[in-house]
Amino acid sequence: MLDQAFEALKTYDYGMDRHVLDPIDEAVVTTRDDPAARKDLESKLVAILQGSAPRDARDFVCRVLRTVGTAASVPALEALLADAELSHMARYALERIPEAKAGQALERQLPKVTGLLKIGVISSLGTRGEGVSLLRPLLQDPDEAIARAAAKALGSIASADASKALASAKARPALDAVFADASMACAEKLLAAGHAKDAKAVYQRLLKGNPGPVIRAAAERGLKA
Amino acid sequence: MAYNDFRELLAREDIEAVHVATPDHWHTLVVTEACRRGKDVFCQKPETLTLREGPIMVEYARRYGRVVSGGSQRVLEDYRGAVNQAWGGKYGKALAINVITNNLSHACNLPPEPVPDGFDWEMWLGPAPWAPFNAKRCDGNFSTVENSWRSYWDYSGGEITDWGAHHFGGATFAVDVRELQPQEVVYHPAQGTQKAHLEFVYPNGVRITHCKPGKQNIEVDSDEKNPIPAKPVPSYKGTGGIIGDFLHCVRSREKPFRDIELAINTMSLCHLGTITYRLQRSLKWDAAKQTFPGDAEANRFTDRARRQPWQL
Repeated sequence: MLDQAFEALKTYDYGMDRHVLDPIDEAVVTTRDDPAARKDLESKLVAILQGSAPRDARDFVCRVLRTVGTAASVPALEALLADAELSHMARYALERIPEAKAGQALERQLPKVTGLLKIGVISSLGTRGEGVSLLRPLLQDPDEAIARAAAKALGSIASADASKALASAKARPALDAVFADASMACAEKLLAAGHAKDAKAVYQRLLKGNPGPVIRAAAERGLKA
Repeated sequence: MAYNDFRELLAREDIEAVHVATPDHWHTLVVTEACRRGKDVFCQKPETLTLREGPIMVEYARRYGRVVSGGSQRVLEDYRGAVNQAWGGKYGKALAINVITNNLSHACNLPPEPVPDGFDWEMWLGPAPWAPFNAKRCDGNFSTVENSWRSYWDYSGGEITDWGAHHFGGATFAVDVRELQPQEVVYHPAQGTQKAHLEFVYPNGVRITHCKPGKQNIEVDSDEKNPIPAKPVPSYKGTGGIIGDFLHCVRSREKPFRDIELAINTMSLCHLGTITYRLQRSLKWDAAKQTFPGDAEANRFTDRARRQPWQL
């Protein structure tokens, strides 16, 4: 049944019966405690990803690799990060693969991809909590959308380093509120970790910049927390 | 006035509050952006698509001091019998309550159709994985059983999140664990014709079961020993049901009856249940850290990557 499902997967496309792939879904569960079978499953999935299967088939593979993917899947997924059609689904897997190699792949591709795909990679690094040193210079990227994404990612990471990166960024009027939002996310984490002094410094810095009423109210609230 | 892009509406300074009634996969992005823009928010249930989205919504509500209400009117209005008995001191401390919902959402592989003129399919998909347009993916059908957007996992959790937001909300209200999340989900595999079912275990010993054989929806089990003392039942503020409660709180700056944190605690049951059914094994849950401790496989399911340029 599993072999038939993989055979069907080679030509799987939109509109076809999804149930032909059910044996692969079932194998995800049944191979959990069988490392050899799980490895075999992963290698068959990777082979599909590297072949000439339709977009829908490779979309499906990325969904499964989100659950079963390991470092062994990373090179095939990394190769798709610059693919306009499949970059998101490659991140769908890479973002959730816990091994460091998945994050390293995102970091390697960050300087190579552009536009929307770069925003996607930035977003995935933020979710994984990685890549602060690479995100920091992007706060000054001439493309406002890239700088906005980098700020949001740093806010998501919310580490002391991320907070410093945001604090040292040159002001960009169009993005002031986004940068402030990310800084406040960092301050909240600092406060929760017992670094009240550092957190207060963030709020004071924001207030010094004469922010609009929404950020002012939020920073004043943070200062009292 | 209609907008194609919610960000244009949220940029308006003359709007103080918004009602988010998008498909489920959009909720968190719209709610957090609304908070960032200084708006109060009433968000339809199910409020979230993933576990990770919940605490982020709460953080935004608190950071910007917004009144953010979840959307289930049934939590207070449909389960008064169980709620009044439990809060009235009828039951003992060994307390369990059952919830029944049906389908989880499932994959969708509909064939491509031409995108209708004037319909922004890319915007409808938003953070969800790209797929070709098909009217069944996005028509107005809210069914979780037939083919409709709410039955597809890219856009919704299916009935366990849709009706689960109501039923689990009512159950957590009745047994007064609205402010908690469970610490464990016990998976009971299918046996013969009997379907698999779940048991959510709370830190205070309360249990919520899902589809326990022989039990009705919102059926309470208690030994009625060591009775819990009676206490006043919380209710809406103001008049006009759950919407009136929200509007009252917009004016008074109080927390609404269905404050987003309580709604998110309910959603945690829906998502934890879904993950448990998918993995077909019991799970431990650390509510403070929002992780499955030492369980790398389960932790993969706490979120899913959003399609660029959408980002939390």
